[in-house]
Amino acid sequence: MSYPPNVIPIRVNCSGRINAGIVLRALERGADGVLIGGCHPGDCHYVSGNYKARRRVVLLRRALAETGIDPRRVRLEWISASEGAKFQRTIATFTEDIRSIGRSPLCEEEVKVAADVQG
Amino acid sequence: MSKAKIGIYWAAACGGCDCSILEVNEQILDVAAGAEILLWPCAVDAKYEDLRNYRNGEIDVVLFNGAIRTAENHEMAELIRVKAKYLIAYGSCAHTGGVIGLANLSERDRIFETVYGARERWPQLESSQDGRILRLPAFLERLTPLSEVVEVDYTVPGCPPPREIVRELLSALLSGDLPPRGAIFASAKNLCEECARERTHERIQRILRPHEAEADPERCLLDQGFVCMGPATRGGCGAPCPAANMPCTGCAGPTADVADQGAAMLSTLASLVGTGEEDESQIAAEDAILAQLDDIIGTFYRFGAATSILGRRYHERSTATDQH
Amino acid sequence: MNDRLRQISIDPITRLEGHGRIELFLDDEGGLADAFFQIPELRGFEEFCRGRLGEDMPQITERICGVCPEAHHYASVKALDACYRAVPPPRAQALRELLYNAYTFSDHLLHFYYLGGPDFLVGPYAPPQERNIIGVIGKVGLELGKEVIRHRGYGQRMIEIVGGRPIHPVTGLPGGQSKGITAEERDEIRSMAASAVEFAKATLELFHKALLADRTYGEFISGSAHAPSLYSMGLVDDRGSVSFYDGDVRVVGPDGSEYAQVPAAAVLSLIEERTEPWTYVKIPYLKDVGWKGFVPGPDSGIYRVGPLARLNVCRQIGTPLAQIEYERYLDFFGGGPVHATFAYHWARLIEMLSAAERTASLAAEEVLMNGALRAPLGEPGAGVGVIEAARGVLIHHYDLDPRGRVRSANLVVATTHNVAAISLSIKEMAKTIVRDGRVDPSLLNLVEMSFRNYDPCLACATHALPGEMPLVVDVRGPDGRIRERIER
Repeated sequence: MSYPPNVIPIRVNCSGRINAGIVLRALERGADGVLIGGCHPGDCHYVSGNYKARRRVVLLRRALAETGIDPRRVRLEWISASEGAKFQRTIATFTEDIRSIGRSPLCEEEVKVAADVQG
Repeated sequence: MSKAKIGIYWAAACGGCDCSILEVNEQILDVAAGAEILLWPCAVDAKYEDLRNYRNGEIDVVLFNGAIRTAENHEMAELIRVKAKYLIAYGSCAHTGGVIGLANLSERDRIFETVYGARERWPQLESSQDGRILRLPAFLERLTPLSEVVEVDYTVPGCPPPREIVRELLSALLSGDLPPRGAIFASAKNLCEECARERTHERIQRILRPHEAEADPERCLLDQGFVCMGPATRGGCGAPCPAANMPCTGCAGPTADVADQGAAMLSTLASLVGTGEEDESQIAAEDAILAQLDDIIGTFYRFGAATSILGRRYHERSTATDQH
Repeated sequence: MNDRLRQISIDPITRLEGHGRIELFLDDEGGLADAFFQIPELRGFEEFCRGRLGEDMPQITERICGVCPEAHHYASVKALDACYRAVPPPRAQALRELLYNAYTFSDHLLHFYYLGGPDFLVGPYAPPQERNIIGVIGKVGLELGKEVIRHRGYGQRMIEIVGGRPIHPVTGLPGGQSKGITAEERDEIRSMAASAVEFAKATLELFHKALLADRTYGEFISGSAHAPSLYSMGLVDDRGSVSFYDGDVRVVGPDGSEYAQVPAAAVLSLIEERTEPWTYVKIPYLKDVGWKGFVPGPDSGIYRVGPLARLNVCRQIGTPLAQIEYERYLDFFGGGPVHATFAYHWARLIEMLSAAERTASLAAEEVLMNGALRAPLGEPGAGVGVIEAARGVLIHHYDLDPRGRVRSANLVVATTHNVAAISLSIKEMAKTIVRDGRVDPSLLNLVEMSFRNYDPCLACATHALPGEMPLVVDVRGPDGRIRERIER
């Protein structure tokens, strides 16, 4: 499968391996969006890893929203290993959605050491 | 053997760390006998001018508590780094930014607006009173832990560091028997290892806030549905908060292999939330449980906001999801 | 040396809690033109408390100050009680008061022996390296020194037993406490409290021997040089006794006449605050009297809080041994109100004894060991909690949303009330020591001694009323029903 140039694929054994810290690290290193592809409910080889991933994404999205980051930058989709076409479509749609949201505010974040006038 | 020369300094701090040094009770007399305290604004009359006059490296050890919040804190951190042989980040604020790191979720102007009101009322970096110039140090846009400003030799976590750890630290300082540089004066394991409560590894079917129920004093708080940061927090304090029937709030920061304490705990909690059954049919019920969390940053990043990318205020160009 | 100094900086000020700097400016004749008490710190609790869970506030706001965390913890808890319309059960109430009086004892002890006291116990002109607790122990001897350490340890241990930790306690919840104490712990507390009473008595005797007999101290508390006529504010119970944990707010004028007595929750209606560009702290004053500058007198809205003020607003102390000391104190000054700023040290020790007595009597009460720890909670709303920190009146005012999250938080913190008075005091002292453009460095300590009277907590001070927050207060009786509504 070929990936579009704007996608960096990261393979893990199970979506359950993905914790919030890994997603945050991706955002910190310049990802404008993070898409997590997990196996369909009931299909997880490790039984329930995908359900755990789903719950983590729910909480992480709320945490992002609390800081002002658009929670749509992190998405979880059920895509099995054999669903190549679905994967391509999902990536294309996700890319469009992220483009419309814009570049991640983490990329523009500047630490200002303020010696300027306050007020 | 000549006396050790020590200093104790506070940046953006509450004084609790300074008081924690007194918690060793009589051992303070050993400190008085074995050390010369060259700097300790809380308790001793040395001034900044005295500090500037010391040779570089002349002070053997400085215990630096408090976070870097103002330009003065920043300047003092750099000055002290030069004057001290060993610099110790003492307490949660110096270590991870502390509770006051939550201020990073707001911009400085917003903080000033809340505290002072209209811009005309704001304190100024420089003002003139009848021709006399008065200065205030700048309130930095972002609060940081000490290690982001200067190199730190040792760390003592905790808000404040607990009595037994302080005893151990003071003994090491007085005997000159310090561990290898980079050591952290705390347990390498998480709090659960030393918590006396009984774990039954329940699923969390309801998230409880401490005032919503009376906690069973014997069972693991997380098992009961209270959000306890224990699994993601360094031990070494003896778990006094769970012993007091209150959940751990994470003041000692994460264990060594965890980069983002809040993210780790959030992930753990998400794993535990469930109805007992892992199935697609449970998704709505699970989401209802997760919705019981009302302040994710304040709960999971209480002491670590300054060290996480989630401890900031961001602005998306698109206004569709402006949450604040 | 022909060059005259134009400016003298004391940086940082020491033996207090928090960051501060004093700038003295000299005039052309080499005398003092002006003095500024600057607080260069700010952390912004009122902002980052927004959005937090109400029940987390006691543990968050106590990090305003690690010297008086108990004060913030319980002002916060009391505000939450009000937010949730909860009346803590008697057992929880007793536990809280027990902790609170142990805290008051401990904090006052810390100030006398470690912070402000060394100036007199070692000497105001002693070398700087000796003016500290180590110097005090050197002067009073190791035996008494160990007693000082031991009793501070007792105070902290009592807080630890009831509060879960010696610094930054955790057991306060809206409507009650998270845990009780065991019978062994109660016995331990009783024994420590009894010893604390004896130690407080001994400290007062030391005060009479070492301070009252000291020429410098004697000069400072006699006469009017360091006795600005100011208003006093403090909490009193329904018998007019000093009350650390709860009560009405009473304000008396410089002549001792009553200016106001209101339910504690209405205290915000009495005051207003101003800002100055040269300090991060805000400056409250009595609204109806008005701000007239850093001047004393009945037409100036400046008021004081803390031990000196509390002993001015009360009718009696409320505990027998401390009452004897209070009468001795009033006798010395020929009656109240007492304005001599250096008398703060004396008033503080009288309170330390009273706090020890209260701890001892509370520790003996059966209610401590029996009954419910938590009361049922109503729906969350707005509420005010007022308490006497060691340093003065402390106010937490929260507005909680229907999910119990903080919409906004007003905090007016003890030392803030004293900021104007401190400015006045340091200027008065500075005038006396600047001569011919010169100051003997050892005399600069006298300027610092002026503020040390107040036992300032500057990390606390930079958190105060942000402005107009509409306030409606329902005053409820013990049965929970509304007695009175006050609006601002």
